[in-house]
Amino acid sequence: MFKLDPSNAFQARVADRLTKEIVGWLTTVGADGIPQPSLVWFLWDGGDKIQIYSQDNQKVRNVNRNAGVSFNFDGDGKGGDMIVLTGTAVIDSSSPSAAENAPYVEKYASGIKSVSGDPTGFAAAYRIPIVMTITRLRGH
Amino acid sequence: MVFTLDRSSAFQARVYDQLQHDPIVWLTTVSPNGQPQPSPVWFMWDGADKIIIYTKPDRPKVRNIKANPKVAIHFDSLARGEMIAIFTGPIEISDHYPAVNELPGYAEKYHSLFVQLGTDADQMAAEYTTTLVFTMEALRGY
Repeated sequence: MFKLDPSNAFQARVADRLTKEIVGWLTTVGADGIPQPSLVWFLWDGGDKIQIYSQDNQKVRNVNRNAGVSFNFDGDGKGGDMIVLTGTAVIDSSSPSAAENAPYVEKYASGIKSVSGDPTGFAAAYRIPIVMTITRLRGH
Repeated sequence: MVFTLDRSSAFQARVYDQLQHDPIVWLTTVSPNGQPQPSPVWFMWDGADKIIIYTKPDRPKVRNIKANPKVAIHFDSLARGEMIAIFTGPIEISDHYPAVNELPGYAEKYHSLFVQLGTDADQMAAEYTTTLVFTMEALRGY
């Protein structure tokens, strides 16, 4: 199972960004073989899972067809601070809804308010739980 | 039909500016087993629908492109994720372009990064011998 090593400076920075960043790039692959990056809100579980809530859109169909995904953060604009996680994603109906996911609601409290008014409204729109399992880390 | 940016759109005018001035884009290829692989790369826009990228020949992205030439190119997001731009289209390994140290504009664009890294376009040309040419087909973003 994938696990970050906090004694490694790079991996400690990855853990820090997974904890603090508001958005990350989730890339799925379309039926036509075209990679489709989208910027998403996410919640890291501290281990090998990243929870995402999606509207019923193309990335959900892509994940159903092809579980291979990547997740990357913005870099420093000059090619540094590169963090790329690769792994697999599933539509996970056993996940709590966004409204029932307390750490998620806490992380995105202001965003949820501006997008949907309240967590219940947000959870109705972003009703598809996607869970990525990290298998590999690249970067520097 | 050749892809053309419409600079009367505020979004596309911003993308036009990023294509001219940003040093880095993320090139995402797909491996033969269906795994997307993003990498940050230096690039040169031709002012029309092509983005030129130089790479080392043994990189996974080159193998991926040989199997599947469909790729995405995106910029870092701006303003805490409120501005994004993503191109999709085909990319090809090309021998119709000059080496990186002879491509007009490249050494000037990356002058300060070359200095910072203690290298130059001539040294880069010795290692980054594979030329990738991306053709814009679609642009998403806001």
